[in-house]
Amino acid sequence: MKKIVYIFIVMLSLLFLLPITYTVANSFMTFIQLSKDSIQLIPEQFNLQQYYSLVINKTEYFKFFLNSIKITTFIILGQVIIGVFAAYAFAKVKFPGKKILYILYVFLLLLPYQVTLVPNFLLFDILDRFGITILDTHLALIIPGIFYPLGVFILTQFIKGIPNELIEAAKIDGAGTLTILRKVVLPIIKPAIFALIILTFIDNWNLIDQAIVLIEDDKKMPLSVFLNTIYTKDKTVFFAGASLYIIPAIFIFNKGEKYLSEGLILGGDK
Amino acid sequence: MGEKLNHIRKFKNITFLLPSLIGFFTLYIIPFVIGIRISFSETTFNSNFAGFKNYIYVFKSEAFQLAIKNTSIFMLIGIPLIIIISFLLALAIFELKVNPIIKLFIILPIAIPSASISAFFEKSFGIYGLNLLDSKYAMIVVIIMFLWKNTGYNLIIYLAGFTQIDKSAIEAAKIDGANYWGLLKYIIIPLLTPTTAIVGIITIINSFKVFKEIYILQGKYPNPNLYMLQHYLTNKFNSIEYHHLTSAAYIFTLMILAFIFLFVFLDKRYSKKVGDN
Repeated sequence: MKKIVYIFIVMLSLLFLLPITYTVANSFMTFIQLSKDSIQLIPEQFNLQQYYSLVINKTEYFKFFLNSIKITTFIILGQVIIGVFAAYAFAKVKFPGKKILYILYVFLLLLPYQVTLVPNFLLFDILDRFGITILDTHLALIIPGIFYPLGVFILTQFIKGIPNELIEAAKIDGAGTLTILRKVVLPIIKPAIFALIILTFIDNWNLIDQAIVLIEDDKKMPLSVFLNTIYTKDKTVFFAGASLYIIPAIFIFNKGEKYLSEGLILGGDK
Repeated sequence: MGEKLNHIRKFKNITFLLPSLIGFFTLYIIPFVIGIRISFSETTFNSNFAGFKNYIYVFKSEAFQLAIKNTSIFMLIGIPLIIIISFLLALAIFELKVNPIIKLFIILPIAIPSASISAFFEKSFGIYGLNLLDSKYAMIVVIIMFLWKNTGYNLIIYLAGFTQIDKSAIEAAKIDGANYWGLLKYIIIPLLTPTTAIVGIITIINSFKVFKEIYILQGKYPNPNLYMLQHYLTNKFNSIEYHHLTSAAYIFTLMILAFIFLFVFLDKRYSKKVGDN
C-alpha cells in the first residue's frame, strides 16, 4: 500500500512539473520551433540563442531581477519580524478588543487589493507634498508588502497551538517575554516561519498590478512586470527569462525544506 | 504592587503589536474607511453622499451578477477540492517521508510566471480543434489550472502544520488501539484545525488570483463562462469607477465573511455534538 501511494505521488509530481518542463524546454528552442502550433516539450536541437540574446540584448533583465530581489527581501524581513511580535500578542496576551481586531486583520486580508490600492496611492501622494517620497520608489511596494496581514495571521494560528503551560513554565523560571519568544516560541514555529517566507516571496515575486499603479519609472519595475511585457512584445527571449525567474524560488525552498519534515515533540524530552 | 507590575508587564506585551498595528492602520484600515466613503459617494470625483445608490447599481448590474455566479461556482468547487487534495497529499508526503525533490516539483508551479502557465494551458487545451477554453466547459480548465498552481502553496502550510502536531497524543492513541482512520478523525484533523483555517483563508485569496491567467488568455471580456469578479473589479478600476469598484468589493467580501462565519458556526455546533456523545 505504501509503495503504491509513493508511486502515485511521484507520478502526480511529474504531472505538476509539466508547465515547468514546458517553460525550461522552450527556453532551449529556436524561434522556428516555438512558433509551431502544437505543444512542444523536446527541443529539436539544444539551442542557447534565447539565453544569449537575453544576456547581450536585454541586459536590463538583470537589473529588473535585482529590483525584485531587493523588494522581496525587505518585504520578507519585515513580514517575519513584525509578524512574530504581533502574532505573539494576538495568540498569548489578553487585551480588550483583541477578537475584533483579529477579525479585522482577516477581513482586510480577504478584501480585494484594488480597494486599498487607490487610497494607498492617494496617501503616498499626500506624503509626497510633505517631502516624503514613497511614490515611484520601491518603498511604495515594500511598505504595504511588509504590513500585509498575512504574516500576523499565519503566525498567530501557529503560536496559538503552543501549550500555555510551556510559556507559563518559562515565566516561572524568570524568563522575560523576549527570552520566551527566542527560546520557546521561535524554535516551535520555525516551520511556520519558513512557510511564511516562501509564501511571501511567491506573492511579491509575482506582483504586477500594484507595481503598475504605484511605480511610473520603467527602470524601477519588478521583474514580473518586465516578463509580462516581453511575453507580449518579444517572445524570442521570454522562455529563457521565465526559466531564470524560477531559480530564486528553488533556492529558498532548498534552504528551508528541512523545516517542513522535522517533527517536533512538544512538551519536552520524550 | 504585584497587580501594578502585572499591568505594566501586560502593557509591554501589547507594545509588541504596535509596529504591526501602526502600519496596518495606516495602509489598510484607513484605506478601507476611505473606500467605504467612496462607495457612498456620487462618483469617484464627486464625494456628495449618495446613500446606497452604488450598492443598488452594482447589485442590479448584469455583469456583476454574472461575475458573482461564475466566481461562486468556481469557489464552491475549487476550494473544497484543493483543500482535500492538499491535505491528503501533505499527509502522504509527511507519513512516507517523501524525497524533498518531489515536494519541490509540486511546489514549483506557484513560482513560474503567469504568462508561461497561460501559454502552456492555451497550447494544451486551446488548440487541437476542440477549444475547451471557449466552450461552456471552460470553467473545468480553470479549476484544473487553479489546482495545478496552488496545491503546492497549501502543501507548504499543511506540512508546517504537521510538524506541529503533538506526537505523544498520537502515540497514546496508538497504544489505546486506535486504527488509522480513528487517529485521523479524532486526533490529526482536529489538531490541524488552526492550519486548515490558514489554508482555507489563503485558498480564498488565491482563488481571486486565477483571474491573472484568464486575463492573459482572454483579455478584458473573456468567454462569459469565465467572467469573474476580478474582471469586474479590474474593469471598474480601469474606467476609474471607484465608487462601483468599492461597493462591489465590499458586497463580495461580506458574502465571503458570512460564509466563513456560517462554516465556523456549523463546525462548532457539530464538534459540540460529537463531544456530548
